[in-house]
Amino acid sequence: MPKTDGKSNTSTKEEKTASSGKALPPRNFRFSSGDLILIIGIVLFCAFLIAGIFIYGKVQEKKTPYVRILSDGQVLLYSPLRDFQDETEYFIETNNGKVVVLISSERAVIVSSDCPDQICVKQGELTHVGQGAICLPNKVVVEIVPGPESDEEQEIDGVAR
Amino acid sequence: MEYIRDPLRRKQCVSRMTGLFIFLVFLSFLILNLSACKKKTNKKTLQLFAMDTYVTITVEGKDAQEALDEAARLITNLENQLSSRKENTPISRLNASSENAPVTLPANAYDLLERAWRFKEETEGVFDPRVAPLMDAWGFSSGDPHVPSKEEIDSALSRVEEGGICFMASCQAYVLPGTKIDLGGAAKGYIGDEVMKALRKYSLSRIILDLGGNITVWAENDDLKVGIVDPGLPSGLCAVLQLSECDTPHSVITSGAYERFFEEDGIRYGHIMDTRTGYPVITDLMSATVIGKDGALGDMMSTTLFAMGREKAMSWASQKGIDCVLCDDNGTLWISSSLKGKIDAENGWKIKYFD
Amino acid sequence: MRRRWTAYEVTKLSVLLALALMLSILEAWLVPKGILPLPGLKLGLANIALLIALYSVGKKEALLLSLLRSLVVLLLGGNFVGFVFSVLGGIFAVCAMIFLSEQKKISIYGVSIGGAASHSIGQILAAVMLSRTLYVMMYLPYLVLLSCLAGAMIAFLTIPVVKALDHIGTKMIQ
Repeated sequence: MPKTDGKSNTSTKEEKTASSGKALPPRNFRFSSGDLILIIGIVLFCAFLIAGIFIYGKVQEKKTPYVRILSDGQVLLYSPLRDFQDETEYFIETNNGKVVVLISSERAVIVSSDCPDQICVKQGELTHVGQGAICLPNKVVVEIVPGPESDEEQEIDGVAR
Repeated sequence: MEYIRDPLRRKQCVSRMTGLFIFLVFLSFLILNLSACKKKTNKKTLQLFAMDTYVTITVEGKDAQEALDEAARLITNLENQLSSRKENTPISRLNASSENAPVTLPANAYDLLERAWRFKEETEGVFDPRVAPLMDAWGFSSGDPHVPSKEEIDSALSRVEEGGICFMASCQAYVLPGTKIDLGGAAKGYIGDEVMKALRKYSLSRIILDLGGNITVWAENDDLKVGIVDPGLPSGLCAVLQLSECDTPHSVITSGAYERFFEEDGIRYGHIMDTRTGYPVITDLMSATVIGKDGALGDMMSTTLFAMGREKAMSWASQKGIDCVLCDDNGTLWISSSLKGKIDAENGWKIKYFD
Repeated sequence: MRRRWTAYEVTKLSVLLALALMLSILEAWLVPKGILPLPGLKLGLANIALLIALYSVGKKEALLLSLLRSLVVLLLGGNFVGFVFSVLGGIFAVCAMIFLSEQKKISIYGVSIGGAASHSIGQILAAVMLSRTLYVMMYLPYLVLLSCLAGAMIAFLTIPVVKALDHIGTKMIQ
C-alpha cells in the first residue's frame, strides 16, 4: 500500500498551497478504548440531563397547571387548565399550516396538524407542568406551565386578578 | 499505514480550541441543570377551592403549618357565614326573613352587611348588595348565563330597587319582601382581612393570600411585588406594584369583566351588574384595581370604580383618597399619583398619573 | 485559507457535496420522517460524505462541506427552519469531529459518534432558540443517545470507502 507522504502533489507554482501538505487523521478503524470512554462520557451526560429534567419536573408539578400555546414565539393562549371544564378545540392557523389543539380540565393534546412528520400529534396528552408538545414545521408549541404567580423571573409575590 | 503528526502549531491550536468549545457547551448544560436548585426556607402553601374560586395561601416562617391549618378552617367557616348561595347559611336565612321573623346573624355577617349597606349609600347605588335577583335573572348564580327576557329583567330590577334591610339591635336584621342579598362583592375582601388578622398571630415572616385573585400580603421585613393581570391578555401582567412597609398588610383587589362573562350573539356580558339598567355595566374600563389596607373596602371599591367608568372613577378616587390603577380600553393605565414610583407598567401599557 | 483554489480543489469539494446531497435524498427515500416522536432524528447518511472528507481529504474541506450542504439544501428546498437546524447541527458536528479525529485514542467510530451527538446538541439548541422555550431540552438526552447509534453505523459504512481511497492513494485527492 502506498504510503501517504503528507506532501502536496500539486505544489508547482501555486502560491501558498498548504505549506507542508495536509495531514490526515490517524487511521484507527477498530473500536478502541478511547471510544468507549467517549461513549460512557456521553451516556453519563445524558443520564445527568435526564435526572435534572426529572427533578425539575417534580418541582414544577406542584404548581397549578396553565396551558400555554405559542405560535412562532407569540403567546396565543395562556389559561389555567381548570378553566376548561368543557373540552375546547383551538384551531391555530400559521403560515405553514393548521394545528388543532384540544384542551380539557385535565389535559391538552395536539389532535391534528398538517405537518409532514406528525411528531407533534404523536406526543400524546399533556397533563403535568413541564410537559409539552411542539410542531416544529408550524412553529407551534403547546405546554403545561406554572401560572403567572410562579413567575420566577420577576419573583412576583402575588398577582391580582 | 503511518500516522503523520501534524507539526503546525496553528492547526493544533484550532483543534484544541474546537475541543474547548465543545467542552464548554457540555459544561454549560451541566450548569443549567444545577442552577435549577433554589434555597430553602420554611415556606408552605395551601390551595383550596372555596367561594366558588381557587384560594392559594403561602406563608413563610416557623409556624407555617399551623397557620395554614388555621387559615383553612377560618376560610371554610367564614364562607359558610357569608355565602348567599349555599343553603342554610346566615345570609340565605336573612333572605328568607321578614319583619315578623327576623334572623340573628353572626357578628361577622352583621358587620359586613352593615358596611356593604353603608357603602351602597355612599356610592348612590353603584355598589348594591341587593343585586342578587339580577344575578339570578342573568343566570350567573346558577352557572347558566344567558340573556334574560325584558320581563325577567324588569321584575328583577324592581325587586332590587324595592329591596331593603332593616338593621336591629343585637345583630338581628330582616329584609323587605322580595329582597335578596348577595355579599359576593365584598365577602372575599372581608375574608382576606380576617384571615390575615388571624394569621398574624402566628410566628411568621411572610403571608401571601390569594383568594380568587384578591391579594392580601404582609411581610415582616421585605418589600413585596404584586402584579396586576393584563385584562386584555390575562396570561400576562399589565403592571407590577412594589409594596414597601409591608409590615402593615396591604390588599390589591381587581375588578373586571374579563374573567366571568359569557358571550351571546357576539356580545360579551360581564357579571358586574348595573342596578339602574338591569344589564351588565357598560364602561370604558377593562379593569379597576384598588390598593389599600382594608380588603373589604377594596373589594367593594374596585367593583364600584370599574362600574363607574374612567372619568367618574378618577374623580371619585381623588375625592376619597383611594389608590387605584384603572386599565382603560386603550392600553393606558390611569394611576393615582400617590403610587408614583411604586409601580411599573408591563406588556406595553402606558401610564398616566392623576391626583 | 489558501489564497487560490485550484480547479482540483473545487472539484473535490463539489463531488463530496454531490455525494452528501445524494445521500440525503437516499435517506429521505428510505426512512419516512417521524418514526419516533423525536424531532430531528434521522440516519444522517450524509455524514458518510463528511467522514470521507475528514479522513481522506482534509479538515477544511470537511468544514466547508458541512456549511455548503446546509446552504444547498436551503436553496433547493427553501425551508428556513430546517436550514437553521442543519447549520447549527452541522457546525457542532464538524467541530467535534475535527477535534476528535486528532485524538490518537479515538477511532473513526468515536469520531462519528461524537459528531452525531454534537449534531443533536446543535439541533436542540436551534430548537430552543426557535421555539423560545426551554421545554425542548427534554428531548436532548434521548436524541443524543439514539444519534450515537446512528453515528456508529455511519462509521461502519464509511470504513470501507476510506480504506479503498487509501488504497488508491490519497495523493490523488489531496
